[in-house]
Amino acid sequence: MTQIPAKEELLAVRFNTPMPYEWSIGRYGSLFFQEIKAHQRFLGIRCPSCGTVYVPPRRLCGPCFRELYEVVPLPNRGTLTAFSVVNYPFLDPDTGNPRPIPYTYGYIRIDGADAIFSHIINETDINRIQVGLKVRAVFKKPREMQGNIQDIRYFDLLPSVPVEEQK
Amino acid sequence: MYLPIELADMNNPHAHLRKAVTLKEVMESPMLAYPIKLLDVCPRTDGACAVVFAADGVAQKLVPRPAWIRSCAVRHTFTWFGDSTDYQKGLVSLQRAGREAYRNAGITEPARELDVAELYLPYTWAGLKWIEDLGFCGPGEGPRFVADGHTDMDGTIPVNPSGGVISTNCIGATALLRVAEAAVQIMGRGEARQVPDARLALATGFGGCFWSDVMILGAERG
Repeated sequence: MTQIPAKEELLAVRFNTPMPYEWSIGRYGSLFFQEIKAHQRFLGIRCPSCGTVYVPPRRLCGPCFRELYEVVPLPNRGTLTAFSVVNYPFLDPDTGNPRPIPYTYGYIRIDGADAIFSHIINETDINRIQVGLKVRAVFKKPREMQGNIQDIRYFDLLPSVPVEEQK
Repeated sequence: MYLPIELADMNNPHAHLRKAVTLKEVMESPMLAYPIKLLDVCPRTDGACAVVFAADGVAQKLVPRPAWIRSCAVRHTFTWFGDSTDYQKGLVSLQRAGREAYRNAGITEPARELDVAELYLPYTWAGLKWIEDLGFCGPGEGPRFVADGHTDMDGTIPVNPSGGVISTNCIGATALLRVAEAAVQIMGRGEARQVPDARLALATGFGGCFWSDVMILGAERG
């Protein structure tokens, strides 16, 4: 054979290998997702030394090395601190398939928290997204929740209040 | 401000990206994540670096002008860089590693005493801020320091004659490349990118969780 094969003649190997795994997210992570499932509400945790509020909750304050106990309920809203409209079809680890593009990934400072939370932003037109915009979480229906980060579907951008109305 | 750094890589035949860019091109390059644009950051490069370290007595037999290690220092701060509590403080690990390396090499005025610096600057803003952290100039003075030409090839402290990380980033080897390029300067092998009479060179490395490595090389055995 001296000709380059047509697309239909190409050889391909496909295999599916199941890779079951079990990963415990621990008491602090579980608390976070249980609260989302039960009440569609975020929880943070506050360090008694430096006052930093982390979301999701974690066991230790990194800089202070203090064990944390003070759980803090937080609103479902925050402020966008950074974003990227992604045009490269990275693989979704949950499906093994390329993510549909474009999608927007954002960093959110939840109201009342100091740590940055990252998630999908429900807007892909780069001209409509700005650092500083307010965002609000949109959840799955509770019966569809599985206790993971996708129980939050995405964050909606909230329309910014025109300057005249702020006075 | 980054023009001098970008132009330098035209002199380095081993650089990955070898194209003079204008300020306008940088400001108009595609947005990656606001406000970071494509030309603000380093590429991903296939490459490698090899350096030969030799003992005193052996080094002199290998080359006429070895680059002697005068000092080195490493600092790490937090495992997760989200725990870096105060970004306003600058790159704390570089401040501390730099201070120790300078102290052990007997350097008190780095911008004046060093002849050349190969710095791990993966982003344009790093070039403006981290030279402050290294004590080349005071806090807030970085942009003026660069704009005044102090980091140019004929300036007070030439920075990245190789073109630096923004022109070549074979990550994993990128920091060793800074040591290699600093050694090249001391050994007089820089060819078109040689800083004349370089006798004291600074090389720095940077890691993803904001850690810093600093090495000072010199022509004097010490």
